Amino acid sequence: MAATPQQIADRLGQRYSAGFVTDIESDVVPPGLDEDVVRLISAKKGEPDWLTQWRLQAFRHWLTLPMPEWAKLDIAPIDFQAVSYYAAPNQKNRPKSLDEVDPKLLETFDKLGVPLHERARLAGVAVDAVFDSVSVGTTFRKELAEVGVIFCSFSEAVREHPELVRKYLGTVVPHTDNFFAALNSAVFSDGSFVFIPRGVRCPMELSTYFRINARDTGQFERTLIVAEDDSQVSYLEGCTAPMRDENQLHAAVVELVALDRAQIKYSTVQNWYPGDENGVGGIYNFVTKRGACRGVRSKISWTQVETGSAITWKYPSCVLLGEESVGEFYSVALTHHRQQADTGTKMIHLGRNTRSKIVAKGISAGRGQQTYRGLVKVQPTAAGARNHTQCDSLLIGKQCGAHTFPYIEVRHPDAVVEHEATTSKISEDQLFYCRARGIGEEDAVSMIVDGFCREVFRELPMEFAVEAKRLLEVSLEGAVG
Amino acid sequence: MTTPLQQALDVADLPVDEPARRRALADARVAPWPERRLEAWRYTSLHALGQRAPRPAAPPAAEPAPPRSVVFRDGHRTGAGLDGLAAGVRLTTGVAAPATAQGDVFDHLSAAFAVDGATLRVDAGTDAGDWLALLHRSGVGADRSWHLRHRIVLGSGARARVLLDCEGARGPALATVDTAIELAAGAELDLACVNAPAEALSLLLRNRVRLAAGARLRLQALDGGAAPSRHELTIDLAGAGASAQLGGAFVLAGRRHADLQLRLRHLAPGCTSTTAWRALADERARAVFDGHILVAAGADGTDARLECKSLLGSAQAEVDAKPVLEIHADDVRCAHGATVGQLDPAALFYLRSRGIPADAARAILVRAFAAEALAGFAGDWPLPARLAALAGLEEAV
Amino acid sequence: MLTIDDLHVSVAGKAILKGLDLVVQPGEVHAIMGPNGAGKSTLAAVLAGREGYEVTAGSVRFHDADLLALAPEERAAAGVFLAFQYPVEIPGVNNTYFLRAAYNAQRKARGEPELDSVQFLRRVREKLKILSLPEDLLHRGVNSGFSGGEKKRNEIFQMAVLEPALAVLDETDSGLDIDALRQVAEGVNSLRSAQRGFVLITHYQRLLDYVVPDFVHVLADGRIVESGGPGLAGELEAHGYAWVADRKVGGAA
Repeated sequence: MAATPQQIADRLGQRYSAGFVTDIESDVVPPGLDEDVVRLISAKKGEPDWLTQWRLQAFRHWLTLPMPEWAKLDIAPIDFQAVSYYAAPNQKNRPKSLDEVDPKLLETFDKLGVPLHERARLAGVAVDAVFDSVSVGTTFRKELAEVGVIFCSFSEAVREHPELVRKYLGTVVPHTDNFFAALNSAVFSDGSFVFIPRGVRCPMELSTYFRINARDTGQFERTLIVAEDDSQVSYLEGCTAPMRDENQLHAAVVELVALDRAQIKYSTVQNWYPGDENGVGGIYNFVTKRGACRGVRSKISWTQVETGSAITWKYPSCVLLGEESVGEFYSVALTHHRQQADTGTKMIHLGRNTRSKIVAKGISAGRGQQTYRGLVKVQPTAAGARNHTQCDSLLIGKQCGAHTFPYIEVRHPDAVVEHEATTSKISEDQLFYCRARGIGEEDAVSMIVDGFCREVFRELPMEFAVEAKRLLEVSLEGAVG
Repeated sequence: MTTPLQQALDVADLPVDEPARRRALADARVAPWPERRLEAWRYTSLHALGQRAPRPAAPPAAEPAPPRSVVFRDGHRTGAGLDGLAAGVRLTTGVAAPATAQGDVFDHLSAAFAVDGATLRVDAGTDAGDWLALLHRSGVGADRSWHLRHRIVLGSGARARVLLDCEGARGPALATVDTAIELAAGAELDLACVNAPAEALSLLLRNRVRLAAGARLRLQALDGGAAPSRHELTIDLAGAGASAQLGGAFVLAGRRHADLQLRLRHLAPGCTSTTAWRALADERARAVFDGHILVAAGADGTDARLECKSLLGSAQAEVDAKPVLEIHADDVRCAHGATVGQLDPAALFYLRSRGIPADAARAILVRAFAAEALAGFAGDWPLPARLAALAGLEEAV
Repeated sequence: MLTIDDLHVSVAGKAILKGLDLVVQPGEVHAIMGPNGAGKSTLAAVLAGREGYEVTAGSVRFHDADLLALAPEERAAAGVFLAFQYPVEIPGVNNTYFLRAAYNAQRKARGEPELDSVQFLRRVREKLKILSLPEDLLHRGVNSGFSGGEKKRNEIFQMAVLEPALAVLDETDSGLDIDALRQVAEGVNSLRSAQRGFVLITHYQRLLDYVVPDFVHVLADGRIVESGGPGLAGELEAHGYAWVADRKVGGAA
């Protein structure tokens, strides 16, 4: 039975449940970017001079760079002068605790399923909630402080722990790294800072929830996680934005540092607004994420589930410097309607006996275009390096595309590097088999997709795996039939 | 940026002073020189070549040619043994028109300077019989440049077997060999390409093949590397049910460099392709495998498989592999695999336990490794024997 | 329970079934034999509702419903089970999970309460024991990487768990060695009951040595050309399918 246009519209309206707008007064810097804007952002955040200078240096470098064009993405020209680089909800005084936060903000995060109140907050997960350019609040701070873990907004870290920020900021992703990293370094507003001291195993999951709300603004957060010797942490991030007809820019930088035997697990469930079925609106998600395994036997593991954004451009990477260090990348990316994604990873093997593993699952439906782009590089110093890459694409429909661009560069004869890529579709046979056992078509599709993604979902903390699965189901609605 | 090589180009060196060649020369002078920031040249530097000034050599003297072959030296036909070709098979020489040029500096050089080449035409339904060889040789002496343009046209249902053989030049040279191949419906071509190792040769082999419905290409390539040796292989499976079977091996040592740029496009429904490549790189050699398979919208029923396996023999050698899949249809079976690794220690041990010394055992396994890519081809091929000779020479691998 | 009346089916414009009649009552086991190309697998596919099969005439009633009007999952919920000739691989989807999803979807469609995973696991373990199948079958992906014999046994296992009213087995015996054949047959026998009907589609008689049918039908050129008791299978084995064709021609003359 064919649905009426109205029914279809209703359904699509429901599709993105995080698409509401919070009506709150904001302090928004007018659109445009020059040195004065960079200084203004720095001043609003009360930053020390060294950081202001660091931003200006990045800004001057950014001016010299062209927008990158090598990705397999069709990006309409972006007017970087039409974007507002700072938006913060008006709050008279900086709230000292969550009790002083504007109830509208707390309500927003409630609606998104990330309650911040003492009584409702998620058990076992500490949350830093970032609304447009500022952090609204962080839960479980006291409990974390007791074991020496620092988990706070980036701005606060600059005030409270300047020596740590200064020691590590820009050491993994320098401002010269790429166009968007340079832009972020100049205008970054807030984000999270995590420091796990020597020997501490972080007692709970740490999580940041990013929310874009204001119109015509970009979000430029910066996250820095440092894990000292023999420490461990699992960090999660989630993101949503209202449904708007204009594209909005999100250009984040994430830096991870793992020292001797430290382990960092970084999980992302990215659900920025993807735009409508005709490709109107949606977030441009241009993100630089990189981890440095500096210590011996350190380990950094990236897991990402990317269902949102109109355009995704991100390559969470590992620089494997420490002997026997390990890098992992697990990814599920889904593009439906007119979404485009160019995502993957870089594993740079520098230390002896370093290992890396890549599992990338791409699902393409509608007119979605999806590219895996990955680099595995084994330098002459990396005797005994090992990599295994598995790259699978699932195509749903005749108008989508799935592409694989692996780069393998090996300069040590002891290295073992393996890359496998396959492409498949949901076959009529699979669907019929499920239906002959009594399972309806939509359920059969999500079951098959879930099976396809299993290896990656297994890497996510339980609550996130459930959320990821649900997102995939919602995003794929109407993809078959 | 243009290079000294381009700046040294001289109208006086043109073989014939005619407007088209003058225009091509002018274009070659100002064309952008391929740099490594270009994706297609990411792993192959032509910087050293750009600093040289090779010039066209004088036409060499005639020389004897083996049966069923044409000999070209320094870009000129110097001999042919073409008696007794079957009716419906014509092999003529003279420069062939470019089919679809990329319009880069090397195409302009070829348009300006090429004076010779072979054109093979096989009429519909005709079998051209045993291997026909195009033998490419380079003179010794001053740095020279030569360019050849060939064409192979098979009528519907025709069959031919062609060997493109580049003898390893001992002196410095810049050579381009450009071959345009058209296979009509149901035609079958066996194409063997051999580039013997050459220290000072810069060789650019451009093979462009277009296959109509049901046509079939089998291609084997063996490359000893040069400075560099680059094989740009463009294959369009343009008609329904066309197929391509490709196998190749790089056997590299010294500072030699080999680069395969495969652009294989599935443009019609029901086409199949298999690609198997092996790369051996020893000493300071570098192997580059850039294999790009595109499945166009509507090319349903595509079956495309590609694998590239590499062995590195030293800490100064390098392998770069980029097996790309670009898919715009959903009813496809595509699989890619690339590995870099070592010889199987269990196999090595097994051979040694049977009394074979370690070095010999390694050589046997290395040869077997490369030979895998050439296995599974129907008919007699000249390449496995050439591989054995080449791998035998490269004892250190 | 199943009444097939003058069924005509075409595939891609080519007539395959040309007036097939068959009635199956609860508790009965019907074997359908016939040479290759007679339309045996077409019959199975049409009963399960596979796409690409055009019913040009005739009807199929199951209990009181028009079976042909139902979607495949509705047929399953109504109690029709097809054991596939070529069971499909679904990588990454756990066998138990798949079966529970199917089982609960069917129960939900029938307005029955669903089973939670603990209840369901108890149930599948019992079935495993009855069929003497290894427990690791539960933890593997649906048919993924199974041998031919394992796939067929997995079909019988699914049948045991889903407890259909009518089971259609499409050449479940093909490609099995004698031990696997015996296991499959034991599975079928253990599920025979007064309430359940079976249609066994097979090319060879050997399955019928282990599962003794109540009726044997010979399908040739899209019709049932001969029906009889279990003895008919033996005669076919002795004389070959040509014998049926000859008798038919003789009878018509």
